[in-house]
Amino acid sequence: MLGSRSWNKQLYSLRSAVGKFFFQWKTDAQTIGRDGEARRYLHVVKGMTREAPPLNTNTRRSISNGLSSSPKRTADAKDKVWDSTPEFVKIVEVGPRDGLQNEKKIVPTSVKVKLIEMLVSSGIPVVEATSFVSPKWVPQLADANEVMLGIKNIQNARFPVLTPNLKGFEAAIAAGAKDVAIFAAASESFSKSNLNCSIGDSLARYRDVTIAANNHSIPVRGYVSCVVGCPVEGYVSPSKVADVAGELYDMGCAEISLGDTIGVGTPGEVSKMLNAVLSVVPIDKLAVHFHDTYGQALSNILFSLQSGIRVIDSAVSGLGGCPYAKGASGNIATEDVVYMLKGMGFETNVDLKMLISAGEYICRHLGRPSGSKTATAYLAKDS
Amino acid sequence: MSSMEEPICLDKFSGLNGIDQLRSFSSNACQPISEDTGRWNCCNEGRSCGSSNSSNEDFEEYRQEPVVWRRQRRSSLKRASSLGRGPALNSDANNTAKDGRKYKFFKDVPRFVKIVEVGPRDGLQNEKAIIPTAVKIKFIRKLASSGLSVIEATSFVSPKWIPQLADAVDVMNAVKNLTGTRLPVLTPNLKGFNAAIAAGAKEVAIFASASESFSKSNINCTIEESLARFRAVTSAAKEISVPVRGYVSCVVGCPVEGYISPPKVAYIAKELHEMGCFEISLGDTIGVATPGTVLPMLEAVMAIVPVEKLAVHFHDTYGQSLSNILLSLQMGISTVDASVSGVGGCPYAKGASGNVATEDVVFMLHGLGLKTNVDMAKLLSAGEYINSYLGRPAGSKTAVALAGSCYSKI
Repeated sequence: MLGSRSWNKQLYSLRSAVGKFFFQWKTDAQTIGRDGEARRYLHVVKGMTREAPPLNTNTRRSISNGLSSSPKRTADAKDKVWDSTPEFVKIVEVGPRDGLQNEKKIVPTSVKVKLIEMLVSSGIPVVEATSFVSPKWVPQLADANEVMLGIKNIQNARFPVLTPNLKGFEAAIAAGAKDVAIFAAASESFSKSNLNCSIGDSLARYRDVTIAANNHSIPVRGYVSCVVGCPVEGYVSPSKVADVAGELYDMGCAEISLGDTIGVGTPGEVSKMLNAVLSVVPIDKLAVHFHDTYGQALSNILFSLQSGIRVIDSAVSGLGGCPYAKGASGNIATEDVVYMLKGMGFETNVDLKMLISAGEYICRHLGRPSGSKTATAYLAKDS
Repeated sequence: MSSMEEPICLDKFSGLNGIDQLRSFSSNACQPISEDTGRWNCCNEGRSCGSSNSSNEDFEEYRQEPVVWRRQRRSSLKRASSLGRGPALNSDANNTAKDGRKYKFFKDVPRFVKIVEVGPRDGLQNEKAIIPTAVKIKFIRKLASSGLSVIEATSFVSPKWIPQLADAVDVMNAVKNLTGTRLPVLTPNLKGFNAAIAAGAKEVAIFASASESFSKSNINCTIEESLARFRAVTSAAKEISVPVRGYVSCVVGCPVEGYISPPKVAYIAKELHEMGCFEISLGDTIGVATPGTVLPMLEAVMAIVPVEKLAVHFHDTYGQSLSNILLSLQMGISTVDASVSGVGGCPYAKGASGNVATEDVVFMLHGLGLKTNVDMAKLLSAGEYINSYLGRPAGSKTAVALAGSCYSKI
């Protein structure tokens, strides 16, 4: 299964056993001095000041009290029903497919393969490798077979590929794909302009794909696009999104990624949309795919995390502009997402420095600056 | 500066890790919004967007108790048959009671959010090439016409340190009679304060740091020395009934010291509050904050200073500001500092961004159904004006998207 829970569980229970020791050591660091000034925490951020913390098992409580928080806060802490094991958020990296497919200049296969290698080395668990859509529509990904060949020995990651219909699915399987993805729209107009058919027709095609996938025990990821707004119709009602998501779930998709294709969503609209979808798809089967066209993606992602979503799509370096607004950005940059997740204590399995290197690599090839503010800030220190 | 390629992890904080803090946000208050928000109509017309006045009713929906968030228990989940829909997903309402959640998603979000526009001061002061006074004045006028209620006009810091703002007196003289907007100016000490008042300023701002090292490197004195100077300013201001806004910089991280702990920030905020500041703006100077570090910082400060007197001033250096702003709103913050078009890069990371773009903030606020009194079209125009003068592209994604949009409906 895509990012199977048992695989994730094993990995992060190991990491959290190690991490727990480490976090405990790091957390028991603060004491409140007499003058009200707290001593600095120990932490591992490079270049920051370090001070050895006194290990003090009562420190957690003293910290709560010392921060002049109300007694209720300590009570809240005690009422926790979960332990302090960091939760895992799965990043689904869509740069090599969703990102690159919008590039005019054809990127050589070797560059694509190297990018995927670097992304996997940084710890990304799922990388959308390529697409078996007709090269007539997406010439950039005409080398899908070669890319699949190039990555077939890469371990420790899953590589879903886009398959628009049964023919594409069969080509994907022949090329060695072990996960596939299908792509429906919540807006009729967008479906017609983007997929050349109605929503109903696209779902009929996808049923064939999911049946075949089921026969091959291949997990299928379903995408719903235009979950907030459509470039043609405008606002898309949550019930329409729920209808399509429900159909994809019913036909057997292991995961449904909800995409704000034109990036107009803000947390209120996302809330309503998620609420509707959750009536037909369980939360652990949902992913969010926000575009940063209006700079709103990270706040939408924060809201989604607050709602319990634990799978986030993003593209390294924000690859892939918005085809509907010239010059505007598209995908949210993976580096920025990982930065936020790490800062919030989520486990992602991703090494941020290595991820930034992967982004640097592809940006150097494309001859453009990074679309990630985190990467830009990090790389600026060397200038 | 040491760039923070690894963000400050939440586990440093009292007792709760990031997930716990995240969970302190209730899932119970997810609010539906009406289908037709004014924003969609305004976006149809491209840039002729009005303010978010139509969103009164929309926002009320946010504050009411909604349909209970429905979650499927993972352990009991059975896969739907391919013939029909999945099992009904019923709420596990008891979950929310046990969670000890304090913050509802939207319940404490204020209805009206005041934007403090810092472009003309905080933004422009980092520019190398001196901008003519006339351009600054026109810039401020354009911002004022967009409905912004507070615009930081200039600074009475010595021109030796900030040559860009050496024309403070001329700028103040030209804009002091603008109506409908307040124009605070930075005053580092009593001398600057007197100069500001003489030039017609009706509101001033003072600037302390939560980091000792940053205080020394930025304003050449220790924190305590700076607070002593500011007490002189606030006393003088009180005598003539001039409001004083206080800034705290480095509220999460410092380019020299690294991580700054919340009690330090709370201490500075307390001092500024006690000496008479009507508002304290908490600044993430190097943009390293994430919601994981913002929450404990705000909690520490809010335990001492009432939330209605607090503002947030996030930098977008690592792209984190909008999510930090969302969290701050959820905690009850109702004043947000921003700079049109993200004017003002980060002086500590060459090429990196600094201030968060006002257009992006307003887009989010209007999308949430909150009132700002800001006219997006006029705001965009002000941003365009200063960018065309500076010869650089917009630092606001909203501005770029709206300029390049070929949507028929958006």
